[in-house]
Amino acid sequence: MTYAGVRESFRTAISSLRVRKTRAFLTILGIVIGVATVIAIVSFIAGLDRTVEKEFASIGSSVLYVGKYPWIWTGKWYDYRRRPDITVDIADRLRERLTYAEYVVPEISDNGNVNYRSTTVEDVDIVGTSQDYIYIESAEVKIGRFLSEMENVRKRHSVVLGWGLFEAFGSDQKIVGRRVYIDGRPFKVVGVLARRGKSFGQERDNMAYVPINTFLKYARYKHKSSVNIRVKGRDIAEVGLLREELISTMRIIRGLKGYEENDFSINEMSQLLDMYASQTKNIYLAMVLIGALSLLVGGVGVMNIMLVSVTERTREIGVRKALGARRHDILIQFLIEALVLCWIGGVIGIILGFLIPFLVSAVTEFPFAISIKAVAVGFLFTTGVAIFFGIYPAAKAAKKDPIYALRYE
Amino acid sequence: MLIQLERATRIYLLGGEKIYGLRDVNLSIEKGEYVSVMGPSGSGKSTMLNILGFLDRLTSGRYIFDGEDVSSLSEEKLARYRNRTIGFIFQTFNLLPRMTAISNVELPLIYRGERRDVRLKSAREALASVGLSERMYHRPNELSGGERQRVAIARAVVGSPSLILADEPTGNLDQATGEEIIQILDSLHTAGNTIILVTHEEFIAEHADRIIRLRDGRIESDERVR
Ligand SMILES: Nc1ncnc2c1ncn2[C@@H]1O[C@H](COP(=O)(O)OP(=O)(O)OP(=O)(O)O)[C@@H](O)[C@H]1O
Ligand SMILES: [Mg+2]
Repeated sequence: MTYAGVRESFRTAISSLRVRKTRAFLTILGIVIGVATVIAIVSFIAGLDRTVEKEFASIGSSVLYVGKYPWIWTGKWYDYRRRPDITVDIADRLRERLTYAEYVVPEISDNGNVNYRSTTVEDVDIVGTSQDYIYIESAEVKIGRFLSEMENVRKRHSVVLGWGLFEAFGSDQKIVGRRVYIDGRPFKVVGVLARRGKSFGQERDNMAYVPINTFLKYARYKHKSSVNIRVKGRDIAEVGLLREELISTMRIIRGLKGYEENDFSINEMSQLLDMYASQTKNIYLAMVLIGALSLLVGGVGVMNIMLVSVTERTREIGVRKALGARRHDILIQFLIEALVLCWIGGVIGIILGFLIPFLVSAVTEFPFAISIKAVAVGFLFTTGVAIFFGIYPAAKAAKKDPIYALRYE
Repeated sequence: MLIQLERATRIYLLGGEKIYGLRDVNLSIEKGEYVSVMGPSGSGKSTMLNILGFLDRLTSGRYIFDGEDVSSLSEEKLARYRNRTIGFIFQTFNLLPRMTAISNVELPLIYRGERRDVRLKSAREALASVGLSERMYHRPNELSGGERQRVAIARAVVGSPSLILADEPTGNLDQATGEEIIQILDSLHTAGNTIILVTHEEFIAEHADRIIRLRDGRIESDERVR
């Protein structure tokens, strides 16, 4: 077929679709929904991927977490519950023995109220930790200093305020050296951290940091007093060695025999990353399925409208054949009509598919990223649907006998 | 010799029953002839025109066109012959309703693969030759019956075919308009075209040089009138 014929087919297709606007619109609705779903999902996930990658990168992958519970549960909860608590003492021993570790930081937290003069801030994250916390978190001290080792040893009532608390208390520089009350107990403010912002959607400025030993003295529930230990390696390349050393040292500390299982968990971000990847893969698949299903429905609609169109235009087909149209001229003409129909649906679908996540991310803080891959996928899908469902009606048109077609009323 | 039919037979099968459209027809038509075909309804006029116009194939017998046996051409070849050698004019005009006059006239050249500028130039000339220069961008429903048939004639001649076939071209027109259409056919003939014209009207048939009368699929008479 010549270029001229293809051009003419596009014109014919558009004018014939214009005649049946309503029906064409209803037909392409399935295509629109299908493509929009696929695009929206792909953009959502692309946005999510980007944020997650960024956050994980900011945390760094050379940090291991020692805890009583694993992040991803594979066994029964009561088996984990039976494990002995992780203590600050363990953290101290790890710090002494681990050769691949740069920092070992114990950490525990709970919610509490913090009062300064007439202001009380409720539901503050009270974090019990040690002096190296500030390094492992790459946090910055704005006023004063962070907690010292001595304050932990002596179980001092010292506190470092997060920026949010500092602001809530009137941004008074002179607060350092003064007294605040945490759940009614007096603590001396030794420093204020700079604004930290959010991580994984979690506020990090509405916090107060106290020596972990002081924290544990007042821990409200005995069973909640197991601490988490963060171990940061000296070198990302040696994370594997660090992990091995950490596990064997923990087993020695716990006095485990060769056949006994670990009674602690070593967690790391990459496990979450793996889980995230496998979870999003499932969402991906489910949504692609929904998209494919709508496309299927749309495709059946396209086939229907094309069959009607072929029948209605039997005489036109006869005329075209009388003027010299070959079978494949007619075939391509009707295929192009199906393509135009589907592409219109595809374009609307692509626009909607971007608009929805865009609007959602504008209103909420949900991440959003435009994915060229999604456009390509949407385009390929619609083209596939058009050809798959358009070929039968088009072939039917092409096979019409001219003398019968010309007599058709 | 442009056209030769030898024992041309076309049988339609209708529910197991054989219906003869044409029966053992022998016929020769020279290049440049102007032939009328007459006969009662159902006598095989349209059947003969469809065969000659490559829209249909013979059940038996031979069709020789311009010295070549074209009795059993492939679908593809038939389309090529329709496109290059035949200009069809129908009783019901058969214009494509959503297209302008010029787009309708352009169609045969599209299937020939002509370039757009060539197509438009030829289509304009063809429309001018039937006196429709002012109506090029009108759609069929914006034209009178006579104008529509003139567009159809322009479409039939735009590709300079060797044979013009008209199946009752005046059948849907009043007498005066029909006369105009016949005038155009006459002038096409004068310009050297070969024309076969099916009609029911004696006075129209008499425009031709030769009148063939069909009855029950056979040639009843074949007379030269000029
Ligand atoms: N497609 C077909 N199927 C079955 N029979 C057909 C078909 N086409 C034509 N016939 C039959 O063949 C015979 C010749 O028909 P044809 O159309 O050639 O007649 P005609 O001379 O053109 O008549 P009219 O003046 O009414 O147009 C008729 O008996 C008709 O019923
Ligand atoms: Mg007839």
